[in-house]
Amino acid sequence: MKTKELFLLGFKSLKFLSLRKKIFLVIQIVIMLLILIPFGFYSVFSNAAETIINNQYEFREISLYGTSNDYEKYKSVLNEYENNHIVYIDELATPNIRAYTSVDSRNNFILKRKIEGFVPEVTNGNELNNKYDIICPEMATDVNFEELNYNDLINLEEKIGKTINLNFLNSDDELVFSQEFNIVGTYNADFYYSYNTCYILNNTFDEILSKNNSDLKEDSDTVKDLFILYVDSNENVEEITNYLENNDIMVSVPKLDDKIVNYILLLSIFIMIILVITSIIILINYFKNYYKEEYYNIALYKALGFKEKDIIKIIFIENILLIFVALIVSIVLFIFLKIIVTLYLHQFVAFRIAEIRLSIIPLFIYYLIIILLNYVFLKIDINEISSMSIKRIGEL
Amino acid sequence: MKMEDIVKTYISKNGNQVKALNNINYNFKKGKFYAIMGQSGSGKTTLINILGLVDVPTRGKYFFNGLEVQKLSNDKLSEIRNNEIGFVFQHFYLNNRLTALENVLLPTLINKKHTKEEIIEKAKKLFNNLGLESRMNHYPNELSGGEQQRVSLIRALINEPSVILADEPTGNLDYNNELEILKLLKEVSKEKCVIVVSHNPNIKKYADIVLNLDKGVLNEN
Ligand SMILES: Nc1ncnc2c1ncn2[C@@H]1O[C@H](COP(=O)(O)OP(=O)(O)OP(=O)(O)O)[C@@H](O)[C@H]1O
Ligand SMILES: [Mg+2]
Repeated sequence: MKTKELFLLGFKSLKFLSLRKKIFLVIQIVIMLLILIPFGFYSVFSNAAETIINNQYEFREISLYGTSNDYEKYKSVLNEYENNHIVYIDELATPNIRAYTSVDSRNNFILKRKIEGFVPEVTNGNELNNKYDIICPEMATDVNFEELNYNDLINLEEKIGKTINLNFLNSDDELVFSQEFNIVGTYNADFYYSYNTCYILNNTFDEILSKNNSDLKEDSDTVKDLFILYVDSNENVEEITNYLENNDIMVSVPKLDDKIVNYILLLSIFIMIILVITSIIILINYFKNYYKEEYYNIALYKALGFKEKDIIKIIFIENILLIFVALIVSIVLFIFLKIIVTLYLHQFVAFRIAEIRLSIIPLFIYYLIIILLNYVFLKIDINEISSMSIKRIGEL
Repeated sequence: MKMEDIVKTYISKNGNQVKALNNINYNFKKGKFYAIMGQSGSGKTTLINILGLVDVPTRGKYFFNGLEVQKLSNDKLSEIRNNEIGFVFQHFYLNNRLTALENVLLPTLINKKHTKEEIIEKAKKLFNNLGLESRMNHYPNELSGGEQQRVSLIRALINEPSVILADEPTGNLDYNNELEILKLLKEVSKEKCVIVVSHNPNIKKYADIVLNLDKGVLNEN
């Protein structure tokens, strides 16, 4: 049989679709559309997700961390560096309260020469004003204080106006200097997770330091955030971090919360699996019983002297054309959908609609799977067709 | 076409055996017009189906042009069906997705005897002969039973087979049309073997040999 005639017969059969074939066609269109959507819209989804993530923070943050010894070096690098995308630099040093103290259970005061990252907001009492003022945690509930024999640090909110005697130790843990401080205010330590941290004025700190030289015990090896840079958008983060890293600055960029993106990816994979399974079941069912539905015409072809391989060719082409129709319709519907989305949705959602792509490859793979199944089942059916009596003609 | 001790037994759904054909021995010859007559259920369709290689006998031997049919491959049988046999089925048996003309051309798709133009020319002539020229591009469900039957006859003739088998070809026709068809078959039978199944006594006037089928037993009249 000539290919042209095969296709003509196939086209003819498209004009007269049985209900079963119509339902099959609609199901295939839906499946193909569902295959197109997750692939086509994935980049949109992930863009949307990224926008959502980015909107969680107004800016992307880059933290510059190091020990207190790194502070001056970082500062000079930052002063030299000009980058328009850096919106704001948060210097985690504060002019007044540069120093803070770590107080142990005996009120031993360990110097922390490094700069600490925040000015605690005083929730009770006053800010630091006078030389020997000190701000303490509201509730010193930290484990460090639980077994205190010195209970003055418990319930410090009640201690406002009272005094606390701090012992400054040297590196051999010997008492070098002792000073009485007035508790002027407390802050919410829960908020800062700094239950044993008290704050004194910068000047007082310097004075104590200079009076006792560097004999006081220092605690400067802890790595902390020194600066935080606020960058206008995600795209510019890399350039800046690269520059800083090249200048021996330790940088960390808090990871974006990309759970949403992962969920979308997972969801689309899940949908794909379900789709593939259901559609293969549908296809197998369809092709398995195909020759029964086509009994009349198969018997007719046989009666007219068509060989089995001719009959198989005819049916094969018919099915290929039918599914090709589904393919075209689903692509057209997809493009239509894309136009709708582009026209209406982008007024509400700020992601890049242009990223909706028609990903033909998965659809093409699906089409190949169908053709393969079609062929395999026809090969199986050929035995059925061979043994099928044409005599039933009279009964049909 | 020679039949030797042909028996066809059907086993119905409730297990009963129906002997549709009982020991048929007959030799059908070229150039003759055979009429097979008999009551309904006497086995006429069964017989003509076996003759047309559309059904197989339960027992016995059937020779087509000297070839023992049971020993032929499926492809060879298909070839014979297409080249040598023109079958007019009792229920016309047209493809509802194709027009009358396309139905007629169907057997020629796998036959390389003639060019497409020749075939279409011939088909048109046959449609004309049978008064169907205006119905060529109609679909079967747009045609009357008689028209469908004539289309089925044209399809049987299109490949110029050596044997024409017709199962009640005049069953749905008025007198004039019936006459046309019988004349045509008579004409054709000069160089072919024509076997027509019919209830209709008119056929006796045209047939060379009238065969009677009674409860599966074939007798020459
Ligand atoms: N597939 C079948 N299964 C069981 N019995 C059958 C089958 N086909 C035919 N028969 C029986 O075989 C007998 C002969 O049937 P056949 O169709 O050959 O009769 P017929 O002479 O063509 O009748 P009609 O004139 O009504 O067409 C009938 O009794 C019929 O019931
Ligand atoms: Mg009959």
